[in-house]
Amino acid sequence: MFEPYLKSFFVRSSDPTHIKALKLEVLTNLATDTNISVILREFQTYIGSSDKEFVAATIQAIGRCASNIREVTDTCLSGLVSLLSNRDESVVGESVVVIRKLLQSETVGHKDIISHMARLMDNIKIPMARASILWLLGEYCDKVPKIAPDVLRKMAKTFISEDDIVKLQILTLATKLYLTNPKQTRLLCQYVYNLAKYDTNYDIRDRARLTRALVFPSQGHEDNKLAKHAKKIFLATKPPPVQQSSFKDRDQFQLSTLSHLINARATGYQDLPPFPEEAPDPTVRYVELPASFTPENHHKPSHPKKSKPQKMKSFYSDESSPEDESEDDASDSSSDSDSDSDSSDSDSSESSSDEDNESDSEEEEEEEPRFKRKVSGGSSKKRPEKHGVSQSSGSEDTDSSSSSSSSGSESSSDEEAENSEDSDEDVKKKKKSDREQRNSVPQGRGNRSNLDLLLDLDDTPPAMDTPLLTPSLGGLLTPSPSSQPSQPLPPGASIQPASAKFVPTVTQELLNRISGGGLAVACRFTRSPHLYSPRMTSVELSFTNNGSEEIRDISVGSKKLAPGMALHEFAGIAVLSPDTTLNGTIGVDFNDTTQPAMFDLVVGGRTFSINITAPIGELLMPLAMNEGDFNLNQIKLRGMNEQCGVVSLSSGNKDIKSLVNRVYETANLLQVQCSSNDIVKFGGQTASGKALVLVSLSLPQDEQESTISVNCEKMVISSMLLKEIKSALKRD
Amino acid sequence: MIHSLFIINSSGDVFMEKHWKSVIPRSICDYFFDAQRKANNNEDIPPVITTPHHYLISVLRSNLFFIAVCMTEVSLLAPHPSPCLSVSATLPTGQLSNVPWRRSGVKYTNNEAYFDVTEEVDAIIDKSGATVAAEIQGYIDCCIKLTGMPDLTLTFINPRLFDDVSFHPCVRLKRWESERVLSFVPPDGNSRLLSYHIGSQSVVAIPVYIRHNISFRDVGGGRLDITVGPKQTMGRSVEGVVLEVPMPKCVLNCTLTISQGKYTFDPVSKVLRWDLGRIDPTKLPNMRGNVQFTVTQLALSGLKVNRLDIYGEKYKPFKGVKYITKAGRFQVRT
Repeated sequence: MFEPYLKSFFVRSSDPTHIKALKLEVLTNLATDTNISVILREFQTYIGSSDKEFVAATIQAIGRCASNIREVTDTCLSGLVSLLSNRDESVVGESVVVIRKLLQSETVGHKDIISHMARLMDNIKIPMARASILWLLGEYCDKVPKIAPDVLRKMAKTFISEDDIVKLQILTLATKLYLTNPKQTRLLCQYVYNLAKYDTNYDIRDRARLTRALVFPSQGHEDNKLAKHAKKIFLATKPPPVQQSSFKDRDQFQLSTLSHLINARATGYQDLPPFPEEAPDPTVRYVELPASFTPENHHKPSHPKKSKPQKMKSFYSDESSPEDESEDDASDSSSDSDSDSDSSDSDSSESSSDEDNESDSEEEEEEEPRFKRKVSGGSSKKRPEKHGVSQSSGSEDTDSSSSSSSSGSESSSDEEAENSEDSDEDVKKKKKSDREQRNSVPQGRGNRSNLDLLLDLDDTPPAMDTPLLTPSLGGLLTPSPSSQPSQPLPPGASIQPASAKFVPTVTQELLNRISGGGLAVACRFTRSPHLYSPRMTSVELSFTNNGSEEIRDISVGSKKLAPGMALHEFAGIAVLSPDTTLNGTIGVDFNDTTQPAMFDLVVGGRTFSINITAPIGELLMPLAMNEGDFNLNQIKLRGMNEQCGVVSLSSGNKDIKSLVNRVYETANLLQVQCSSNDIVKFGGQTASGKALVLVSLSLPQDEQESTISVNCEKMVISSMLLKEIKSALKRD
Repeated sequence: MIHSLFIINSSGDVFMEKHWKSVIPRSICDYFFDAQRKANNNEDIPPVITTPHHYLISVLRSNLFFIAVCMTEVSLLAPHPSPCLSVSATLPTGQLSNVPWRRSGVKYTNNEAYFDVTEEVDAIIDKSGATVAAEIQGYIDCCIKLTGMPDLTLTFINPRLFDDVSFHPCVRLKRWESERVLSFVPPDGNSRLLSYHIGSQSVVAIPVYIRHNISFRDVGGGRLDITVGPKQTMGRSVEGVVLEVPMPKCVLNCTLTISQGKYTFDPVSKVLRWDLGRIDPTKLPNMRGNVQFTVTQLALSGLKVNRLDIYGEKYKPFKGVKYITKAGRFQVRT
């Protein structure tokens, strides 16, 4: 695929080292019979580079090219041999190692190369290269019967000063030589063994003892079976080594992931799901537009357009009620996830209309987006009444609708059922359950792939995680809403601080512009960890100059704090010009109380008293934990530490998603993934005391009431939190 | 997915940090400093550093290191949050035309249309002067000040040259594919109409040649002899020629005699920079490395604009085309 772009992978001298290595890898993999000459010439120029690491990698790449492409093995080998006379020692060392590997795979007629390398022995100092030469001599000692003993003689002289790896190879050489040529080398061999016997390295001592026992069997053990076969043991033919790239085992990881880059499994890495054994049921593709495939449907021509406006609607309808919004999001997300099937459907069935669109003149194409927008506006007006219908049917049989998934498939099947004008309730239910059963298997698979997408959605910084997005996640995940909280946590990382799911945007006025002389101060809880101390709650103060003159030198003056509390002031603001707003972040350690933090704000000499009170929910920090940990800790916090209450839900808080949102708005907690459908659990800790706060909300079906229990070792906190959550859930 | 972000300046101070999840102490940057110490220069620092609990991802931009600390898997190909968050409910003002990139009711007294054809040559030239690889990255920038809603057609003499093109959204792709003609309603003011790539398949003539002879001795310095000359420029002069020669670490200083321009040697980064200015073909300047140059009034690929037609409006605009060839990543090996 990349062959025509071979030249784009040529290394430039200005590239960083890791890019050079990657380019080499690409070039090596692209090498074929036809382009090998170009690549080899290129490699040759790289050897002159000043980057040592890169030169070594290049020589290895030449070796790999040579072993992969038979035609060029000889030229590569001669090229490598010529490198042996290079001035740079590291080049020589590296090429010796590569030549050794190449020779090992091809044994015929390399006598002169081996003798040439034996001559190099005096000059090369790199241990790996020396060891390689010695091994080669030993392996092919029958081909160079005169040189090998001579080299051994020299090595025996320098044995003590050699590196460990070289000493081992000297031992090997001695053994092999003794086995092939015992007359000449017997004494030398014994001398080497004696030296090795008293070496400091135990590996060398052991090796010497073992081989000595095999080669020179002690008195009385001459008929040792092993000793008889010593020649076979030491001079066995070895399989040629396979030259592998250092990037070889990368392909087990997904491309473009962190794991792929570092070649290790990072936390949270998810494998690609394996191919399904059998083809998934094609009906999963019809989730979005089942009606367009049933001949008795009346809306057939208008259907594709109907679905698109639905998708777009959530962008434009901002004023809709929360329930409406969440429902929309559910349909939105499901249509998103099914956009593939959507398009393929329209390809197959509505292809004619598609082509019509394309063959239209350009002016019309330009107008198209506007046209769609108009349509969407129209349908959004139409929608509410449609909504009412589906809602009423939902309340009629709450049982089935609440237990079934909230995904778009359900709602569309609802619609279909209504369209077919089947008045009998039972038949409808049966149909629905049938469909569910049919879809259950492929849906599970779809969920997994959706989860992949979700991972990233979830990991976005908290600022992106607006309430608008959160319910859509729930819609995507299906069927049990309790699986909502994001990524499955890796084992071992059970309780961890997490980022806030919801960041409040409402501000609280601290200083009125009239009393502040033009300066208005508002505060907002950002729910992000404070840099100065993890015990502190971050409060963003926004200063707005409503006056006509510049305000200078805003800073924090004296602090009047309750004992145990602390306040980290913001960097002072030097100048605030008229009609501008600047933000400063202070950190307040409320010491887990709702007592106000009072301090003076000094503005150009005048002081204003500021009073910040944090709602109890803002004194918490979210914790990610699994259900087991939650239950374990909840059991520990029974009795006095548990506060329970019953609340009747307002009409807007019927489904779990809006409940979860309400809790998120009230308190900075994180939902715990939970196996049961009718319990929602949240985990967190207090910012200052780091005391666990566990909230569980049970939600029996068909009932208007929900039981809330709050567990925290600080009773004040649990009782206040309970009160807050109760009032939030009662509120419409 | 990013836990924290640290920004480090060239002297190794963490001068800015931002934490999203939990606060990670600054000492995590020590792993980065270790890697920095090991690397020869700042560009060689590995982009991802694995530490026992975190992954540090570093980016170097204008001498600042941006270090992101991650704990979990990061994937580039995974879809990002849908852009619906940035869609506002109201349309921006001045968008009343049905061409989204051009507002309606534009009026100029002088109707002008200028096109700058700029080509950058990326090349590698080997020791003997032969071209190893050469590519052209080109782009056509336009500055259009035309009244009303003109419909322009730009034709090229040799449109087959383009290997790989990417257009401004205003260009009608169908007409390009069928007739090789750029037909578009231009955006008002400056915009990049087209960028293209002329790849390794077609032959690229290099406008300069460089002969060099460099030898180093182990003791007492070496010799450096570089000659730069123009080549195949069809009569245009080569201007703004700059040679950058990265020297090996052992070079302490350079003392050179040059026949033209001036040279500087930076002893810290070991780069010799020779600013030649214009090359006079009659008297050749006599002094490896990267070369920068510009050739005005010439597009190296031989691309030529044929004509520009205007439809839909009555007036006659002033039209102008300018060609410039620049050196992109132009490297000469020694």
